[in-house]
Amino acid sequence: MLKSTQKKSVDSAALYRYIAVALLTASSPSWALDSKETIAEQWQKTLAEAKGQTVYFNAWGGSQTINDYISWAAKSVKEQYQVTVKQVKITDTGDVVSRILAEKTANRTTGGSVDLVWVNGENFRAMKDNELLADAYTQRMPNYALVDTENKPSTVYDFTTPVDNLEAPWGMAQLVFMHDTEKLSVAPTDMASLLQTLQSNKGRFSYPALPNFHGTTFVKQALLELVDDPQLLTKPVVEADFARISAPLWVYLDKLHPLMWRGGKTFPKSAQQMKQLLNDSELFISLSFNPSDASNAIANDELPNSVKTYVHAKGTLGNTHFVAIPFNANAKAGAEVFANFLMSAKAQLHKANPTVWGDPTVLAMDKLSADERKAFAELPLGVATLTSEQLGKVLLEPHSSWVSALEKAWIARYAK
Amino acid sequence: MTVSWSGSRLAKSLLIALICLVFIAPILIGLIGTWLPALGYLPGLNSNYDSSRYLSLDAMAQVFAHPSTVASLKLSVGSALSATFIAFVLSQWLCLNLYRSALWGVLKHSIAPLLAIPHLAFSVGLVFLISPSGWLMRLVSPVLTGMSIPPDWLIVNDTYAASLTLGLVLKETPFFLLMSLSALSRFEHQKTLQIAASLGYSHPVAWQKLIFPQMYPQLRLPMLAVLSYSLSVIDISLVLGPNAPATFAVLVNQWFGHSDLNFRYLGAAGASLLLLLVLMFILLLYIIEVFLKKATKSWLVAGAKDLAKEVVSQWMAKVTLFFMLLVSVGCMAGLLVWSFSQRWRFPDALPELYSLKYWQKSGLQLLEPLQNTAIIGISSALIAVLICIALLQWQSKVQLGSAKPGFKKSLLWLIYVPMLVPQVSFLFGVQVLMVRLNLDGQLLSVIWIHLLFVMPYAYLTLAQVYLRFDERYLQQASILCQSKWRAFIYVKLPMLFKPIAFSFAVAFAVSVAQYLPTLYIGAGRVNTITLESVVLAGGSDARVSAVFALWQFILPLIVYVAALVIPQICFRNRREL
Amino acid sequence: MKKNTDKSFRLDNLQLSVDGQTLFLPVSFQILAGELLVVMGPSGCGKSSLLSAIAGALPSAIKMTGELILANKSLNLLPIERRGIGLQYQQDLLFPHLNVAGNLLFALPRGDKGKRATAVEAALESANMQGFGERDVATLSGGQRARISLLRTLLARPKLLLLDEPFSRLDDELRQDFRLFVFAQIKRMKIPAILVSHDRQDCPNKEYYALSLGKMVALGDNNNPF
Repeated sequence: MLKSTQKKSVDSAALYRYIAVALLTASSPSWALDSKETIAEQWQKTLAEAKGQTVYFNAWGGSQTINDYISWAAKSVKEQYQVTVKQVKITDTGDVVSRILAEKTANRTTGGSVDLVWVNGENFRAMKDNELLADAYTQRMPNYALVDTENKPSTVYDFTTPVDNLEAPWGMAQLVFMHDTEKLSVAPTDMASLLQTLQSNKGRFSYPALPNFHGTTFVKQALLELVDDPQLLTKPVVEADFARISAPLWVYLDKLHPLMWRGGKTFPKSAQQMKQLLNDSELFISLSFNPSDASNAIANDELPNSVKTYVHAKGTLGNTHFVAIPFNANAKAGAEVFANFLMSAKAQLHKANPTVWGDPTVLAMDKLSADERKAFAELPLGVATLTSEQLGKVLLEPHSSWVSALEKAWIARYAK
Repeated sequence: MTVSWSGSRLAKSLLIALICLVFIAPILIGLIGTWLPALGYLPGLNSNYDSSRYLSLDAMAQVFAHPSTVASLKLSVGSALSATFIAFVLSQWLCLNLYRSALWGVLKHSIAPLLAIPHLAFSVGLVFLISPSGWLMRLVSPVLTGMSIPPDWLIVNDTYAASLTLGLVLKETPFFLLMSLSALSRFEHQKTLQIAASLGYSHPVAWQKLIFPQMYPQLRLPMLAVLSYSLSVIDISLVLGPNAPATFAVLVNQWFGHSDLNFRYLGAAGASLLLLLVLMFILLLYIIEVFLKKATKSWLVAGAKDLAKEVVSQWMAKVTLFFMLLVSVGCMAGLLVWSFSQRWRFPDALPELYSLKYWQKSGLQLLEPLQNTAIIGISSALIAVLICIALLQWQSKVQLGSAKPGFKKSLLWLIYVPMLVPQVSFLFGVQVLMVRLNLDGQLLSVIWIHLLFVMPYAYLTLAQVYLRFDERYLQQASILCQSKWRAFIYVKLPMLFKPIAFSFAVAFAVSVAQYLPTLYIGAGRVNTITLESVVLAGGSDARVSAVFALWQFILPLIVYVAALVIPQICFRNRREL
Repeated sequence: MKKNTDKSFRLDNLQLSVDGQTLFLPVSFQILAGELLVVMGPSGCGKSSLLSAIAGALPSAIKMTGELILANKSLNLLPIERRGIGLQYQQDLLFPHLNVAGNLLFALPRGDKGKRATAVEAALESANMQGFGERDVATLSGGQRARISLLRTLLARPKLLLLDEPFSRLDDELRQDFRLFVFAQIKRMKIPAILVSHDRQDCPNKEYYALSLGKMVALGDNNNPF
């Protein structure tokens, strides 16, 4: 299986080669192993086992919109499968990883407090490296077959860490910017024009301080746009080269910060706070990982309808967010049932609706039924949302080792 | 409580054992559980740490190698010291100047509602009020300022942690005032002032030379508690504090939650460093105290000399009190308006659209958290008050000379330990302990941990009044009804009902505000209103934040009001109570 | 007199000491039912400690030797509430959270509601305070409070009454009234009583004993200067 044949981290080989391997393996996961029992038969067992279980779903709870969606999903699996899902609202996924680690330290191999966790990127890698995850399971889920693993490589490589069926794709994310057209009619098209825009609109943009997830993403986006050869970023950081490769980034940020909100001396707490600041006109430009965020917020009166979404011309970073089952989960079957439901066409359709959440689907349209395809096609776009053509190119995340290197360097420069 | 009565040795030992087990064991084990990873020992982590690093100071060295550490420590120490100092001096200055004024009653009555405002709710409200796009600016814009977009002023989250300090000062001054009032009630301050006046001392001088030195021993501990709290506070610092870098406690918390699990070592080392800092400050305070005592020795008896400009300072004190009340009311009012708004943009003074939606939605959503908060708060406060009564009953017997002191002194310090030790410095270890005992994520464990933090405050607010009780009432009653228990229940408890109820309310409010302990021990499964509020206080949606902050305020407020009103109803025809 | 002996109170060789230092010479006496022993002496001579010893409320620092016998039973090992004594201080110690009737009812043993109410009424009547039952004790005058306090003590049916300067807080007129009230009540109740005082006036007439610093002084001579 994938897990045994691959090393824990991607060493020197280029990312693309791994993607190629993934495309071969991920689309037909572990058929050989399960030849005696079909997926459907196995799944019936899981469903039976899950009945009556309570699943504690640890998910970031900072957005009412998302919490509402999770409530809806919980209600659905309760009705359909008699699985109770309780959202444990957290501020930081790291806390959850800490808790699972504490449980591992205390040798609690069953009956853990976390059944399912919303995770991706660094936290996934930490959990994988420290063996805090349950054995590969997504290949057993009927709805996993619907996932667009072919055209959405980030469903198989989570920030370049091989997913290895250890987490179930839940939604797609792409970095988008929002601007208040009333205050700023022309949106920047890249990092350079952002700098120019701010020269005449001093203080009207910022990004959350690192190690915040959105802050890190903005810095990565800047790096991708500014380096001479983006290819270098697909490889692990080599300490000796880091300073040289990242040099243009620091030159840029040194110029950008004085033009930012509060002169770059302090930063917003989160992208969510930036949305509020955009509404207050403290900021004219904000950012999000959800292309429908602006539309959703307008519908909510959280933002004025003069806000529009935009992306940078050469594309923006995209990734996938997942749900994962810890190694000692108490209600594994229940968690699988819920994770499977979250990947269902019904749940993904509801989630993709900009009036609900607007989170793009992980599913492949050609694997769905005609009706489902139609329903997806008929989804309203939202007043401030870009079409998939307008959203443009999705840039792949740099190798995950860049995150900690960038974070370290950023903190050493701007948070001391 | 049997202790106080029969004086039986068994009961006393049981009480001591209980206190040790309930209060000291978790802290001690928690500290050890934090020190071990600080020294490089954290089994369960497949880290690149090798065993040769076990029991080394590598992690501590890494803490200091981290670029943010020094600046962040400066911010923490600076804001904590100045907030504690300013709040303390302010409270004493207000007492001194308002004692003889008509506002003394206002001051006394404003303490309870001010204390009821949870720190987090208060800071969210403060941001709504004073930030460049806050309510104050909206009220004067664009008419007075000419601004249609908010100015880019560095007010909240400023790099000097000034707004954090302001928030802490505004929140801790009422606590110091409460402690001062309780210290004042311990001795005949009125007579002391009269005698001083007859000797020719002006009121402020008499206060400084005679009243304050007598109050101070009762204020020392609260001062240390405030210092330790300010050094290790996380939720307020997240809302009001700087973030590049953040205060040290926030940084430590970031390390504990960092996606790279090797940061746990730094977190543990940083948490231990916080504890060291607190210990250092306790020592420092002790030294300053000794020094001041020596330095003021001759000044205290140097004789009367009128040098006070009383009228001016009294007037200033009145303005300050008024300002404090105004800011607090403003914060709460701001929250209230936001909670009912649907669309509210700068520079509108009031929302463009109103809605009840967020209250309605929160009502359903918060049913469980509110219920949990109430259960945890009521049980922990109740147990704390009961243990306090048992301890105080014992102490009053010691005071009367009818019981031997026993472990009294050391016992009292044990109660205060949870208040002095920064929460982050042992909660990580407590979490591991709870997991090991399979007690995490359970309501009972959360109540237990809350009890730890609630107890010192219950004791602080109850002790003075309780020990001042004239024990002859109890003696008389037990002679009359031939039962010490009946006498205690029907005479002493009712006569002390008011202070007991107030102490319960303070304890309840402390429980409601607990964030980290609930998070760590409740494993996120025991959801409280404060957990919900912190999650949403990130500023995602001002309307939702406002509703949640207000919910967090409503519970303690109800209990405070009940604590004041119920005794009044019970004893409505009793003038002496 | 004889039929009263079983209700008498006796002290045998009572001595109090702090750290081995005795407070006064060993004291022995007997008080018959309806009799009052007046204990006088300068402050600090151990009057109040003597009373505390009898009541069973000595601070642990003070050691006691000797025997206390009330109605032929030793009191020595009994806790304060089991000794069957009544105790009056100069403060009335009325419970502020209870009204007048509540204070009196508190002292009455549990039982028939009507009977208890009647007992309270009768007690109020004996103090000329009919109808005061529902009053807040805070609204009473000093004299009224003192009377209610004594009535409360007596309603508990003590077998021995201890009075610790009960008159000293009252002003002159009230004091004489209350004094007579107390003496009358003691007589009516037919119990032994001990009065600690430093006011010669409190020694009503020669029927009463006086004790000074461990030395029993001649009976019934009001002019005895100790």
